[in-house]
Formats: sequence, structure tokens, C-alpha cells
Amino acid sequence: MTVQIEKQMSGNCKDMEHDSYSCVQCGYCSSCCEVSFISKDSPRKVIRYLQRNDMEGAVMSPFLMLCKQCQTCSLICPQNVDIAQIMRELVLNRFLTY
Amino acid sequence: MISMEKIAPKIGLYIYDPAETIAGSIDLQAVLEKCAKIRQVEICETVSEPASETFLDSVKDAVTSAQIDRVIWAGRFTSHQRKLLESSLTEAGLNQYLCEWCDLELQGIGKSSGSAKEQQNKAMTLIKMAVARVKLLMPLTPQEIPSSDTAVVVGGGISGLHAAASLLERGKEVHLVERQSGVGGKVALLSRFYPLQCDPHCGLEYVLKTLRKSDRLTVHALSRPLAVEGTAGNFSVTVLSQPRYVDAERCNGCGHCTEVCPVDQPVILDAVQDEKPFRQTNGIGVMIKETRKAVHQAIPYAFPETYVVDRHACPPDCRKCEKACPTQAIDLDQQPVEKAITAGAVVAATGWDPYPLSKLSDYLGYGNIAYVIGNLEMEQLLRRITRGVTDLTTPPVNSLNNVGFVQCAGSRNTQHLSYCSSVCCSATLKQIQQLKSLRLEAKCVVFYQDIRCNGFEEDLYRQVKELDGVLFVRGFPKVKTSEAENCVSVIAEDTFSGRKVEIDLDLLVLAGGMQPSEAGSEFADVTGLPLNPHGFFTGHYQCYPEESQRTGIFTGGCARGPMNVSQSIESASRGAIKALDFLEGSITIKPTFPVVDKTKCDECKRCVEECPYACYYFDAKGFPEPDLTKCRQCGNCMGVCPVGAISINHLTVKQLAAQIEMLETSFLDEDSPIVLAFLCENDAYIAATSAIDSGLNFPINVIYLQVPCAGAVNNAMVADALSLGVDGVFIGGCQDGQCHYIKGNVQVRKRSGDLRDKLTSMMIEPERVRSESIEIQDTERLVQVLNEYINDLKELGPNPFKI
Repeated sequence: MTVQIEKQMSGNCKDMEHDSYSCVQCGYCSSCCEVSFISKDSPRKVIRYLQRNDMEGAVMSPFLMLCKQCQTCSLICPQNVDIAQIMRELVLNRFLTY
Repeated sequence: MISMEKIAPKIGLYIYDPAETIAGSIDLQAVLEKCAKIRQVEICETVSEPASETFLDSVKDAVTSAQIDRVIWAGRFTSHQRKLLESSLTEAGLNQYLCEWCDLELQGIGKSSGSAKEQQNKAMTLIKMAVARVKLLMPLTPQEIPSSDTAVVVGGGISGLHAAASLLERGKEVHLVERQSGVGGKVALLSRFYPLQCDPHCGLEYVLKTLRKSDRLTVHALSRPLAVEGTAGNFSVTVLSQPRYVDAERCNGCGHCTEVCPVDQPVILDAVQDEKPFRQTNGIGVMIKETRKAVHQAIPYAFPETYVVDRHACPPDCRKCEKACPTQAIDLDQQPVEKAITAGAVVAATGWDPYPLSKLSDYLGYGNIAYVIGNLEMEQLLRRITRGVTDLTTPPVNSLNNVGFVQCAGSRNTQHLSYCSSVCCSATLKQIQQLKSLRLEAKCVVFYQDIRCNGFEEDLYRQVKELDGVLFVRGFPKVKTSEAENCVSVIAEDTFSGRKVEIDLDLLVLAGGMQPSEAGSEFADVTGLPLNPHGFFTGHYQCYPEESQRTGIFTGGCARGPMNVSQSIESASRGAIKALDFLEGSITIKPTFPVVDKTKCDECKRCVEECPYACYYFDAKGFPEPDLTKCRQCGNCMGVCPVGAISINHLTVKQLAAQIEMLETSFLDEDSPIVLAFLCENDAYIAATSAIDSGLNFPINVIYLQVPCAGAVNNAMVADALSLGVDGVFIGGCQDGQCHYIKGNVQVRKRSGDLRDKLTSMMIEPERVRSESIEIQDTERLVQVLNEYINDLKELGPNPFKI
């Protein structure tokens, strides 16, 4: 039962075929990201929006405009979440939807 | 003793039905009358008080007067009654394997569905099956295999020392094989233990007391095992020892040699795998260098007490120590020695190695940014500060104002160590406690993911949180070279507030993880033992964590996985206790082992392949032979043998065939399918008996036999049963991954291809065979599965071979 609920929470993520659900919110991506502290959001926070099913929060995050796709976050993520790919898709989502 | 020469068997059949469960459902009297008429059943009676003196005496008399020479007990006896009956029969001289216990109630008589007539027919069939089996029973005696009382313990760390101590205290002889020049392992490098902040040397000395006063201990230092041959009780362990260049009998530890030694060489601590553990960056950096002479006390702990010379460090032609030694103990011409040790058991306590932190240098800066050290180096630093060492290589304690710790450095990371290293959180907290005791003003920051302090270690966490000047930041940091001097810069996102944390630190300690030791991997190669996916030794993790795939070789301590000192000690003790079974001078083998009929064997070697314990070897003529010390008597060999050449004593192919033949497939009417079920003794059988006991409507159609493992079921048995008219054969085994014999349940399924071919050629539908995984409590599911199966069989129609 618990698994169902949690999966529902990251339901929107299914469109993106990525597992933001694996993220344990360790903050490694934020610490390695060169642009993470410029806006109010960090890569970790954007993934957190997705985990909370807050698609709008994720897509409208100011961090997305700063991400330069350096891939460092994806490379160091201890849970192998492809963060850079998620950012890329969110940006696309933003331009297509909003 | 009753002679078993070609005399027809004489069976005593006793039925015990105190609650009249059986008598209430069937005409027990009629059944008894019929049974008494079965050939070779000499006594057939009901029992009212099995534990009474009169009854016991009557049974004993029946045996001693040769009226009967084997017994069937049919009924629900308490274990107390069972023991009394068994001991009485033994007193009367009856071999315990000529005594059969069967329980009609557990097969559903009086407790399952079906009319009285059906139950009565089934009861008759069950008794006839038992009689057929018992006629073929043979007396059996356990085998004794002589074994050594010597144990070899591989690894002289805290685990190995405790294993050795436990064995020495039981009077066994122990050979301790350690690759360094002294014992102590990683524990000797630590500054303190948690939670009491006690000195590891104290713990080491305590266990060494037992070792020091024993005259049954041989320590092989600078040694490694090259081979472990033989089997439990009789291993031959080949040990190669490098020379110490010091005579153990002459060296008294006076240390004059070190005073004249011209060499000062850095200690490459066993703790780190990098060649240059303490890197310098632009000439600035934390350098924690210990140096020693070429001739020195044993490392890491001075036991054995004999000194040792590191010949690689000696200048050419220098023999100063040799000349200076007042007892002429130094012998620079010593050679390596190879020795074979006979042992009954081996305990592997090969410990762990630190995960190389240089693999994290990209983001944690180890090796290229100054002031970043690992947790073992921090131990060394704390140790030196505590001892008041003030040299250029140890930073003065009052320079440590801001110290950071990074948890999960390399652990819980799919790209490094995917598991949690278990001790690093408590170790860091312990280091903070010690640091604060040395310098109260020091401020500490812990960058963590989760603080994992299990059990009472939580107290340690609370104590440290209550200290002034200790900050916990949840977020993984990035380490950078600082712009300021003599410090290192760290940034992290505090994942709770979302804010950036940026701080300059005098020292950053990476709480690195534990990986399997190189010595352990080497030992796995030498012994052929399998490792788990993380590279640690693995047994049956839940129930028998100390076992390895080779009977008689046990493991203990961090060789099995990350654990703290107390856990290592307990783990090693478990290994030692289990090793004792093989050190008692002889090993008793239960007589229910497999026997190969070499007149039938065609050397196809399938038994060799399928034995989950790899216990088969080849005899002089090339026939397979089981090593009885390794054999777990699971029956997989019997199950796979395509020519039926292997039988387990007391569950032979003939005995099973006789039982199956007696199964009267007419005990139910034509439309009701008859199912013969083979259930494994560890899970499926218990599920069946529980199902019946709990009053679930167990189908009357099923007659089940207990086998040690589903893998013991031979295709020929299945085909026979079907050719004799049984409508379906059901095989119940454990769930995948839970088979008590590792893979028996999987192996029986693998044979289904062959079985399918065989049945098709016999014009029998392969769908009549079903195999299922049944867990021990799957009582309802078992009944449901059987009912569905019986329905499927009804649709398939009766077996054409059925009479």
C-alpha cells in the first residue's frame, strides 16, 4: 500500500521516464553545481518539487534557467539519478506548456 | 542385536488414537483386522497408554523374543512419549532406524474432507504404504570420522584473536596466521573505542592474556595461507612465512638494535592503500608521518614480541643491528619457510581494508587538497596528540579550531560502495568527543546524510549533540582549496533550510568506508569460497552467518561485512564455536547419507554438478563418491541421477518405489483425482501438517511424502507414480533464495524439461506434474493451490493408466 502512494506522488515523473523517486535528497548535486546558489532554488530542490508532485513548482523554478548542462550532478549522484536529463526535460516542458 | 540375514521382516504395528479422531471418522476396528492379515505384520493393535510400564515392557518383550524386528508407530505421540518409546526399543536392542513414525491424522484422516468410506480407504492405503516401506528398512549406525584437534585461524586482528582465545580456552591447538609482523589488525591503529573512549591496546592486551599463557598457540606472522586442501576434520593448510630476520628464541625485546639502525623510514600505515597517504600541496599540508627504523617491534602491535627487520629498507651491506644485538638474536640470512598444518577446522577472520579515498578526490579533494584526511588518519592524529607528540609532522592541537567531518564518504553510493559501512557515524562522534576532550574550543561540523547510530549508540549521538560548538549539517559538501592560508574550504547545501553553507576548516576528516580486505580476497581465491556481491564472505546469512560453502571453514568479523568491535568479537566467537564440532577428535556422521551403486553408475557426473555443497569427489576408478563431512544429506544427488544409482540411506529409491507402488489409486471414486505430493521437510511439509492441524479443508485426494529437499525428487519416481495410475504428482519446495539446501528447489524445476520428454514418450500428459514454492506458513495458499490443481486434473480427466 505504501509503495502505491509514494509512486503516485511522483506520478508526473512517469512522463519523463526518470526516477526522481530514487533521490534521497543528499544535496551532493547542489554542492557540486556551480550555479546552484545563485537563484533561490538548487538542483536538489527541483527534484524535491517533483517528488512532491509539484509539477508547476519544478517547471517554473528559476534554477532551470541557470542550468548549463555541465552534467556534474548526474555524474556524482550517489543514487544514479540523471539530474541533468531531468532538468533538460523540465525546461522543454516549460517552453511547451507555459 | 537382531540379525538381519535373509529372514522375512516381522512388523509390529501400533495405532494410538487417544482422542478417537480416527476411530470417530472411520471403522478403525475393520482397518485393524485387515492390517493384521497383511503378510509380515505380526502384531497389529491399538495402544491406549504408550508411556505406561506395562506397555513398554510388552513392546520390549516382543522385540527381544524376536516376535517382531521392526515397528510402525501410527498416531499422534507427544515428544515425551516418543522419547520413551525410542529408548525402550533401543534398550531392547532394536536399531532406531527400524522404527517408523507415521501419523494418519496428519495425512488428513479425521481432519480433512471426504466421506467415511473414502477416509477409511485412504487410511488403509496409508498403512499399506508404510508397511511396504518398513519391510525394506535396514539397521543403520552413525559413522565416525577421525578429526584433528588443531584449528587454523587466518587473521590476527581483534576477531582472529578472540576466535583463537575461545579455541585455546577449550583446549584446542591453534595456529594463528597473520600477514603483518604483529597482531592487532585495524583495531591497533585506532585511538579510542566507542562508547567508553577506552584505549584499544587495553582490549588487545586483555585478549592476549589468554594467548600469552597458552602453550598450544603458534603464531605465524608475516605469513599467508597458500592452500587449504582436504575436508572438514582433516584440512591441510599450507602456510608461507616470510623471514623476520630475528630469532624468536633469542630476542628479548631490549631494543639495542633500533638505537644503532641508520634508517628512518616512513611508516606506510597499513591503514591506507595509497602510496603517498599524506600528500603535500605546494609545500603546505597536514603531514602525519610516523617513522621507524628498519629493525623495529612488530607492527601494528608488539605481539609476537620478537623484533623484525624490514630488509627492503636496509642499506646495502649494513649489519649494524646484527653486531649490536647482545643476545645475537638477529639473523639476516633467514629464509622464507613453507609449512603444512593439519587442522580440523579453519576460521577466517581476514577483516577489512579502508575504501581508498583517492577515488573521491574529484569532489572531496583527498590527495590533492591540503588538510583533507581520512578517518583512520584522524585516529592516528588523535593518538599522537594524546601522547603529547609534538613534532613538525603533527599539527599542534591548538591549531585545530574548526574541524569538519564528512559522513558517507564513498559509502551508500552506487558509484563507490553501495552499502552502508555501519560504523563511521559512531566513529566520527567518538572522534569529536575525543577532540573536544583535548581541545574544548574546537568547533566541529558534521556533514551527514543520516546519522546511523543503532541501539544504544544513540546515547553517543545525544551526548555529542549536547556539546557546545558541534554543528550538524545535512548535505553533502564540495571541497575546494581555500584562498586563506592553512585551511580548506567547504561548501554544501543545508538540505533542511535550502541555504548555502560555506566554511573554512583547519582540518576535514572524511569518514571513509570499509571494503573487503585484500587478504580476504586472496583467501577466497585460495579456498575457492564464493563471496557476496560486495566481496565479503557469505554463508546462509540469516541462520548460519558463520558458515562458508566449504564445511569446516568458518568466517568471523569484518570479513563478513562492516561491523564494530563488539560485533566482530561476537561474530568471531560464533565461528569458533561452530569450528569446535570439527575439533573433537572425531566427527559423527548421521547414517542417512547417499550411497552410489557403482554397478549402475555410468559416470555422467550430474550428481557432481548438482550437489549444492560440491561434496562429490572421484574415487580411484573415476566413480563419484560423496565426502561425508561436507554432505548435508539433502538428496539432490539422488534426485538428479538419471539411472537411479544413488540412494539416501533410509530413503532409498527402492523404499520410495515400494511406497508408491502400494498407493491404491482406487481409494477414491473414479471422478476424484489422486495426487501424490512430495513435500520438502523444511517448508512445504510443515505447511501441509499445519494446514491439517488448523482445520483447513485439506483435500482428501492428496497423499504426501516428506523429502529432505524438493531436489531429492527424481524424475523416475514421478514417472513411476504416474505410470501406476496416480492422476497427478505435486512437488512442493521452498521459495527461490530460501531453499535450505541453497538451490534444490530450482534444480528440481530445471529437470522438468527432461521429465516432460519422458512423460510424453510414455503417453502421459506432462501437465499432470506441478511444482510450487510453498513457504512454511503458506497453509491457506497450499490448500488453495492443491484444490486448483485437483480441479485442473479433473478437467484433464483420469490417468489412462489408472485401474
